[in-house]
Amino acid sequence: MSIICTENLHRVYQTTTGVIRRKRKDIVALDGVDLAIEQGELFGLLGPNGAGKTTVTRILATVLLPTSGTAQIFGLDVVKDARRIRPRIGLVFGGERGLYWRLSGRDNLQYFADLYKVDPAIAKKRIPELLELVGLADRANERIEGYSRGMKQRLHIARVLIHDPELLFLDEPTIGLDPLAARELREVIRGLHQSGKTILLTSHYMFEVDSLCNRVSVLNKGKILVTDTPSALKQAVANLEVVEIECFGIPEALVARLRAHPAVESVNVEQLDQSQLVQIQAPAGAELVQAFLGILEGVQVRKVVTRQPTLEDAYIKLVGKESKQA
Amino acid sequence: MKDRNLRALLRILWNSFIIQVKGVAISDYYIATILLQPVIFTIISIGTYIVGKRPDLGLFAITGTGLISIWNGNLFTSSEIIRDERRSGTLSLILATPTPLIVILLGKSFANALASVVAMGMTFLTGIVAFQLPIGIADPVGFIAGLALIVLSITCLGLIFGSLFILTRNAGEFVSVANFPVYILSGLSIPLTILPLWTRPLSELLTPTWGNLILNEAAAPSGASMLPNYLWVLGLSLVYLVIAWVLYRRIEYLALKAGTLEQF
Repeated sequence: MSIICTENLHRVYQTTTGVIRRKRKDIVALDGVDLAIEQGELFGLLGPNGAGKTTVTRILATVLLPTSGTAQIFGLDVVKDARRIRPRIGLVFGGERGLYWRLSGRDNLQYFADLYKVDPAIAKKRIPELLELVGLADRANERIEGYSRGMKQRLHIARVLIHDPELLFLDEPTIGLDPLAARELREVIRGLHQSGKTILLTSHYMFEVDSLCNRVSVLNKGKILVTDTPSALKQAVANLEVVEIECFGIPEALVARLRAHPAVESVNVEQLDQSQLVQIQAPAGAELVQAFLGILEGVQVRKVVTRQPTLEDAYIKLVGKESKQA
Repeated sequence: MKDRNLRALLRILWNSFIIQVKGVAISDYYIATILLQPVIFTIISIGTYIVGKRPDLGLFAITGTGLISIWNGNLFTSSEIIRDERRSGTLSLILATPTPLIVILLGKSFANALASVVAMGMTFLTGIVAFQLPIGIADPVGFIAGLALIVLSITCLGLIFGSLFILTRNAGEFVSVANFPVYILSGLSIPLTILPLWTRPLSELLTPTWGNLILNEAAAPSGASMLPNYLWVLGLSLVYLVIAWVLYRRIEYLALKAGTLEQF
């Protein structure tokens, strides 16, 4: 049986617009999400900002109610049985929030151990072990307001393990970390998975999901587009190649012309510091570089590279296709 | 098993209390609420009685203002607890633990209430230093016992108001307005005798009313028995706690439904 199971999960947020004539507006965050995650999996939830990743995580972590549909964890309903689920799960949100800044790292762990009703003798033994695991043993007694972002994120991991939960929800845990800190944190996550924890990881870093997860769901505009292994997702773009053209000041009209090219699968424009990186997915071996440069005539081109597709390209193809259809 | 649960509960209450004390000790906001506000309130209150040629009401002004400051300090700092939890992003995390939110907030609110006792000291000090009022307490033990009980009771009453902050970050305006009727109806700012009779049942439902009488009796005894007043305070405090418990369960549900826990 799946450890996490959702059926037709919907979530609508209500907001208001205007000052004098206030109008209520519904924002659909989840639009019929079906998920099944098995015990021991490290499952990735991928999607752009606003796709609904955090909403799914919050509903499953029992801190948000779904508007309709069902979600079960360990066979228990997240709405009706929240109190029975909570001691068995752990939740980490990305970013620096979620800790008591005026307390030391050790005091934060002690407090959460109390809130999770961890036996004091076990907590006494576990706290130093966890501080050691996340590399904070020598800074444990300092107030965390003096910690770096990476240290706070590592403390979050220690906090979530304080009651030894079976299931972890890690919502963009490496967001905003420098590459070294992010790599260290990924190693900790990998270790947790190897120790038998089931993990639901949300991220928009493709390489992170690619290197860590057994299976991935791609979420866009509140809907799951596909669920598969990272290698199977990459297989979907195996017959493509990606032409990357770095240029300066490309007009939207030319991007539209590239998209309209009959051989082009998708086009993604990424803003770099002063230039734009245009990523064009097209059939492998089609020799289309000259045709693309012809369309971009008059635009200053800095660099052209042709490369094999990655998971990110599979993601861009999926999300891009969805946007095109919308 | 029950013994273990009780010990766990007491540990949470104690640690929530300690965490709040550590926060209060270094917070400008708390210090301003507890130290400065009572001085201003006392000057206004005693000044009014002096201008009205009723300096004999000085002691009433002191205890009343002290309780207003305790109530104010407790209410605003308790609402600040929820704001702090929202700001630091811990509100949904503590909600995701097996511990009921009200237990955590009870420990923290009590820390605030205890800190706000300093406010009572500040009112006495202001009365003595600024107005040279001859203030003595005839029954210090009775005064301290009454003060301890009323602080506990105000903590429970503050929890009811504080619960609104879980539902919305904009509860501050409502609480600011709802704050005044409590100390008017409790006879803390003006004597109860000048209020219309129909307000009396409302006054009787507020423990600061009974607490104020207990403190005044301890400071200047008239010989009246205070046992009924103590019983009123105890009974009503239990009622407040039950209301707060039910309210928190309901408001927790509404906040999870609205998805407002992370807004700050």
